[in-house]
Amino acid sequence: MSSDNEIEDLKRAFIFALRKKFPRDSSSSIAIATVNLIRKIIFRENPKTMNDLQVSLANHCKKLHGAERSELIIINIGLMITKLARDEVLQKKGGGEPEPLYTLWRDDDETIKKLKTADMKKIKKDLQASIKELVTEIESSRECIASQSTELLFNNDVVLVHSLRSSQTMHNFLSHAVKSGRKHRVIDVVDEEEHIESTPDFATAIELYEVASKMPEASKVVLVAAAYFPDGSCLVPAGGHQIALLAKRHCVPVYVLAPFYKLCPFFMTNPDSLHTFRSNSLPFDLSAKSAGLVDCLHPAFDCLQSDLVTLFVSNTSCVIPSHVNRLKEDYYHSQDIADY
Amino acid sequence: MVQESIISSFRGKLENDPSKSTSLATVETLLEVLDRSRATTVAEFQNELNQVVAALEKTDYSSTSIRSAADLFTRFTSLAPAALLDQEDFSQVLDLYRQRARSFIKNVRGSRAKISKCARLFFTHHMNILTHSYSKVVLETILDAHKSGYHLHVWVTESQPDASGKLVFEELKKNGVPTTLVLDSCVGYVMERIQAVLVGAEGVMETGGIINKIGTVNVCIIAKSRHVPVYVCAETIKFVREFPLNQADIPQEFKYRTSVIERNNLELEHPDVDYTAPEFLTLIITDVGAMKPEAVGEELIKMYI
Repeated sequence: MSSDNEIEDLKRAFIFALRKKFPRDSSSSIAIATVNLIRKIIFRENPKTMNDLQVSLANHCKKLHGAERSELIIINIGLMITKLARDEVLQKKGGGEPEPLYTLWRDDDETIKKLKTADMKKIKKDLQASIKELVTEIESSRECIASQSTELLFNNDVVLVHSLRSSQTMHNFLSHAVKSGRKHRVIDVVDEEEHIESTPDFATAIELYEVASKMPEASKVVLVAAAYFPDGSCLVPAGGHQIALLAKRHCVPVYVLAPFYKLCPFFMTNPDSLHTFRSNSLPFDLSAKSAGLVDCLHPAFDCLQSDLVTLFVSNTSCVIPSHVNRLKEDYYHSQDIADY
Repeated sequence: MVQESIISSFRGKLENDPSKSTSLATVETLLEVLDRSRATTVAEFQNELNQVVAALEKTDYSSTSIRSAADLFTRFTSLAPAALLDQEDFSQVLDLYRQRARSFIKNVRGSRAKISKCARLFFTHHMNILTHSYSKVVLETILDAHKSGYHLHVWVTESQPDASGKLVFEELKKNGVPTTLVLDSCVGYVMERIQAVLVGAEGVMETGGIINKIGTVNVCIIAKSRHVPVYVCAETIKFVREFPLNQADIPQEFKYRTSVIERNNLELEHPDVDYTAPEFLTLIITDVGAMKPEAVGEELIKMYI
């Protein structure tokens, strides 16, 4: 089947593109690339029924995620598109009656029948339009988060930030605050000594071991999330956990920038299962001497528990950790999560 | 009296099938009432159900389960399109109620399997799990995980005064799960090697806390102090619209069996259940997914909207 071969080629190209980039591409670019890939898959496969579409999407996303364990965005985008498709079908069939809020009251047989008999040709146009809206939302999420900086940062604030160099969202967030006339200081925590030179004008660079001494004078801490979960916990780049613990010690609020496509509907019980480590930073001569004798652990992410986070800054609103569960219901359908 | 035959039918359901939960038996009994009902107005029908529920609560089975199941059943079956309620012929409304009731029961029957599947995510290989008291949901969850190839070591408390932990212990041993029976006072001793605490719930309160077998709050407090996660496995049919803030706030009929209350010398009795506050619980795993205790209030709002 030539269609299957084309789809396999598309998926391989997608994975190669992910792995080729060093450092890693920005999250919004990956999200948009995932949406485009899924759109092409839907176009190529041309599923007959809604059920076929769901099964196909679930399979493809599982394989893609299996190839790149740390990219939770792939799962997120796949489940979002499945929910969009489901909503289109139920809207047309149900005559506008909203689905019951509570699943125990839902007649599952009736819903399954609707999904299986829906004609995909009618749905496809609307689904494509919904996917376009999703892409637009992803593209604008960075600006929406940046525009909230004026609500969160005030004059005379001392803001301690992490991942400023590698995160465009963080950069835009702080730049927008500067442009809006906020008179505040920014302390940028860098991971390596060489990065101090490339710090932007509005920030002062320190290293991770200096955070403890600087924390008492900080009034805000801003981190970026690699993923966040319904129980309010989140993955942040390595080093964030230490910063958050110090912030809690000194009663400093911690804001986490988290666009909607990073909301993962599953719970993270074991961050090690992501198998993500950054490159070894040992000097070359030490590596030569120590080969096989030394394990150098360099994890990419830390897992923050929900009590360490004060506020998640999403592109639509600011959410406290205990309300992330409610946000999950806006983007994902519980049946899709259960089936996954 | 019709109610006596209903009560005997209710008892028969639970005695004939030990694996059936009180909630499910309650709902099935109410469906029987619905099938027999010859009411001609909604108010008459509601009154009929209320009388049956009051009679069921006089049995010695769990008042918590009976109340939550009955409330949900009544709420669910009585939702009807407005146009249908205007019909002169009430039998059409009754037919709709019966159809709704049957689909409700089908969902309730599948709850345990859904919880087991959802809880699987939180297990790892060679995990030490502590459980307290006897819970069919927890038992099914552990056995399913064992069949799937997870090597779990289960530590079961004795759960005095009725030693229901021994029932769990025997059941697990029969199925080949490595298990250890520990004294109730031994929980502090073994907690440092436990990776997760898994408990059922007799009722899930609107606060997000749970009502469960006496001693549960001890286990959860020890687990909290040792930073061990506490997972609660409970069907959503066990959600109760009560908002207790401490042990004294638990309604009496939840704490004691009906026969004990009738004797009226509660000073000499100890309660059957205790209340565990939500701050000691990590997650509540239900058939609609895992949720933080804070999310229970939202689920209840959806149920009773």
